[in-house]
Amino acid sequence: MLDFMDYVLRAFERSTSWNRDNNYENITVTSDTLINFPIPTTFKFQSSDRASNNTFNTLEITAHKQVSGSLAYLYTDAIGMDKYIRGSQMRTLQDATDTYRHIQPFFAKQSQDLSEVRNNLQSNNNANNDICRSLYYGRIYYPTSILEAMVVKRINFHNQLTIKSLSSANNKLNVIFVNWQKYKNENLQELTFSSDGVLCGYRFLHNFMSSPSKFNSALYNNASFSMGGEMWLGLSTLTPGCSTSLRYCTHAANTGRPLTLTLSWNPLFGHISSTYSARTSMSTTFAARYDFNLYSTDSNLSFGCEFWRKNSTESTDVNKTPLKEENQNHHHVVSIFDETDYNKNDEKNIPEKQIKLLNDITHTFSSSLEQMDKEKSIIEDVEHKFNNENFTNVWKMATSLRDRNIRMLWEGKFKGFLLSAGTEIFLTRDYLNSVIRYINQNDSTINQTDTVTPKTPSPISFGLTIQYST
Amino acid sequence: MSFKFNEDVFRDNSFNEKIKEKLTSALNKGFHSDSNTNSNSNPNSNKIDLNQYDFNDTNKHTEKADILKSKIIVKSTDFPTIPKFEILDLDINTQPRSLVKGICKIIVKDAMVQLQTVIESNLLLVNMKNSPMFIKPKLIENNSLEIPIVMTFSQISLEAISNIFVKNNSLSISFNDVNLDFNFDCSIKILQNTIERRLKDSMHLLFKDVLPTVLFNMSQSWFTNNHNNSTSNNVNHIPPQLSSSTTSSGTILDKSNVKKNGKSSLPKTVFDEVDLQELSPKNMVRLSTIVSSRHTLSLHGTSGLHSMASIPGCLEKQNLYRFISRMPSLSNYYSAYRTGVTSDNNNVNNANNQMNCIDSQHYSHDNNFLPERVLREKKYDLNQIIDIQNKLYERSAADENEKPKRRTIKLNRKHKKRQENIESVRQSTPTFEKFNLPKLTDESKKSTVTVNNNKIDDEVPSPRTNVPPHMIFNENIEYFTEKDHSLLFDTPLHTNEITDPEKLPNDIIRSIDIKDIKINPKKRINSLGSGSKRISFVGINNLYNNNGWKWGNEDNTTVLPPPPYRL
Repeated sequence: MLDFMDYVLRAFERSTSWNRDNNYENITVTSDTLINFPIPTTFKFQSSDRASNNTFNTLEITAHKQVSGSLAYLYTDAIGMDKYIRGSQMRTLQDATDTYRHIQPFFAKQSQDLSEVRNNLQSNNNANNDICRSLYYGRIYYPTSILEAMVVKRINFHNQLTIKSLSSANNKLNVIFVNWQKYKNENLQELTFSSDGVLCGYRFLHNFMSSPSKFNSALYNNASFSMGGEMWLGLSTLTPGCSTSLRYCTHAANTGRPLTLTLSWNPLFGHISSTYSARTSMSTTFAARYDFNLYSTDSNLSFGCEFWRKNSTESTDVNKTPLKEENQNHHHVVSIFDETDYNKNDEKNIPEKQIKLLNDITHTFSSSLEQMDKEKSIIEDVEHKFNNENFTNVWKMATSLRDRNIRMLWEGKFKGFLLSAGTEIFLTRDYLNSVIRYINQNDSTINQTDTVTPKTPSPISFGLTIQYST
Repeated sequence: MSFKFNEDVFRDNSFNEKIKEKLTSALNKGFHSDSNTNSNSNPNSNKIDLNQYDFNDTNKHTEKADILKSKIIVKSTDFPTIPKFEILDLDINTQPRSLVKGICKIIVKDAMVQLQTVIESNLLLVNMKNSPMFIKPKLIENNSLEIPIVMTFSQISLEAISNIFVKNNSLSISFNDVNLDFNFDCSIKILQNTIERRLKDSMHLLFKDVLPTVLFNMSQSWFTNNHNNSTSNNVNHIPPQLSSSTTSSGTILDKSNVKKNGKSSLPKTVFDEVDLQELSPKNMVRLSTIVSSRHTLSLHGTSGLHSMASIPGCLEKQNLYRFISRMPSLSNYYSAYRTGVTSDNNNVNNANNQMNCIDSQHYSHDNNFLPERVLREKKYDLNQIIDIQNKLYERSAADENEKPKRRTIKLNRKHKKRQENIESVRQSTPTFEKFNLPKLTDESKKSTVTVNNNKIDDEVPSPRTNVPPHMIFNENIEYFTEKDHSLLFDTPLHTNEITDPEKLPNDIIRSIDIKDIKINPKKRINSLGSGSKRISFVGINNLYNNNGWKWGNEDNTTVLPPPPYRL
């Protein structure tokens, strides 16, 4: 379940057309949300309120051994937040929880953004002022008196600065965190500094395929390919960290179902992890991840899946709407290909013979052009269908072969409340003991009884979150 | 003082097993197995948990970056040779800094220890594990990589010269010249040099700082613990044995425990009945003799039990009690009357407490006490007593500005005043003016009884008196004052005879304060003869031979003895 303040933050990014998916840290976000989804460990009640279009506040009460709570305020001057922020009554479940991230190809997104900006420019001369907005957020925890503060400032169209700080009353934990992101020429570069361990980091992500024509395998090319890397250095302890990743998002050609493949590699510690995530049907999502370590030859296979469920009576009227947009999008694609302009020019300047030849060509390709439209419509259809579906609850399940655990989470809407309940069950509690036993299996001197693992499944955590917002 | 270096501990293989066990427990003291469960969950999981700050507040600083992912397993230990323990020097004349100062050399050779554990190699993950979610950047593929590591320390040779100070209730050891050498073999070759260098660097700190502190604290807890357990009677005699065993096998055990890891455990050596039975009376006699000889630096005080001095013309400290026993004093003069009482009492005492093995009569010397029987049988001669007391006073007053304290005893004094008088009496040498015996007896007897009753009541429920456990070092007090304080308890109350007021302070001394105890022997020594007067002890001639005095060099007949000995 997405925290309300995270929800507002995402709305802020949408309103300022800052794409989260270009962040390197979100490169594996799909498989993470499907396999490593967060499970509540406590009873938590969260009540949020939009006081005005620009101010939001949240009261949170947590009961775990002792009752604690937090109070959060958020102010943003972004425009059109009311378009994106909805109360829990109106919010769709897809919005309220992390799920499969459908990553739009770079050029499509870019063109959309640019067109938006262009529109803004036309309507309003100071478009920069619409985008260069900021967000201020503060949260205080009781009874620990820890204060969280965050400022997100969009400096200009290409730069965004995030400053977070954490302050505790007993001076044990005072951290400042600065993150500067720059997105230009399909590259997102990021500099991070955290005073916790004097951690410095650099991340970058590059989106390939500046134009769709480079990939000719599918006619309607809705695939995106990204590559990124990160480097970290904890200066206080001189601990390095780095990784590099690839991401490829595409759609199944005949069904239009989206799928994402990622491959990450940590050269320092020899980790390789590959993920495959797909929306297998309208209401199911599946992800698999295979981890392997080059040095220790440890491996792990994890699965995760989601089952979206809806009330069967409500889904009829929604299916109509995408058809309209389909036509618009069709034109949109055509405009990108600049086919119309190209044809116009041709007809004027080129002699008749050649026109005939061209007509023959267009005739021969017409079927494929139609095919392209069809593919496109299917792809768009899937996305729109999912987004407009009125789901009532979702089951998420994940398991990992090495850890031998089962994670379950149920999220749903009930009378305007967003509920989330989950648990995690371990089949073997102590994996490392088995490693030690394996190491010592030839060594009779080690007492075997020291490393007995419990066989019974034991729940590690269980929790429930209730969220209500107006 | 003596101690036993128990070689048998090291003889058989059980020592290796024992040290393996102790090392394992010591090394894993801070390890809690719960951290294993956390290690499995993927660090990438974006835990949204409001209690994160509670967690952080309590654990962030206690649960320091822990790169150990499993217990430390001591795979094998091998101590093939018996550690050598060599006393280079023993100085027992270092009051007031310490009671005993010793220099000893500890040698351990050819030992081998093999440790095995699993470490986390991704330190960035370890460091970031406890930072709160809000400011924790999400790292891709920042998973843990656990590496099993085997460390073998072979050919360990330790050669250390250490100073040992035995203090009132503790033992402090400082290592002066430590020579530790070992071959280090690590299964991860990259780390081998680093670990070795760091280990050798930290050795310095370990021997300079950590180990002495640990030993000091351990000895302190040992001493106090033992004192609480023991009764007030045998407390005088057991702690020296304790401290000595601490210096021998205890330290070596602990040292080998400590030297590899910087952590330490406090091994508890509990002396049970069997151990105490080993302290034979003969041993205790020897111990006491050695203690009494500490002022002469002589370790062989038992030589010549019947001669005053082994060196002609010198009085050895350990023979002081014999000298004192022949000094002019009331109790010596009436020594014939004393014996019956004390021997009776001695029987009682032995029956009461078998631990108190030293024959107190052997050493006890009642300084200037008028024995009970003399009073009872009215055998005393006032002139004789005055004569003795005057001589004592002449000696004691010669060097100081001390005025003779005349005791005036009134009949109708309040109890409170009597208490005050006890203090003053203790400070002074009793003189014989206005020594109104029968009157005093009534008063003092009463107060004595009440005080003693209080003492008994106090001691029975809580034997936690402030007497240091090694009280035996101060035992020479008892050569000057009343030795057997239980005599006081056993004296029938109905007797009207005088109990010397000296007995009172003696009993109080035991319970009041260490400082009082320390002051007291000095006073007594001064009263015997201090400064220049003491020189005249050398070469006391055989003018007194006819009285059985056999002093120093017999050729030196012309020198006159100092005044108090002219009887």
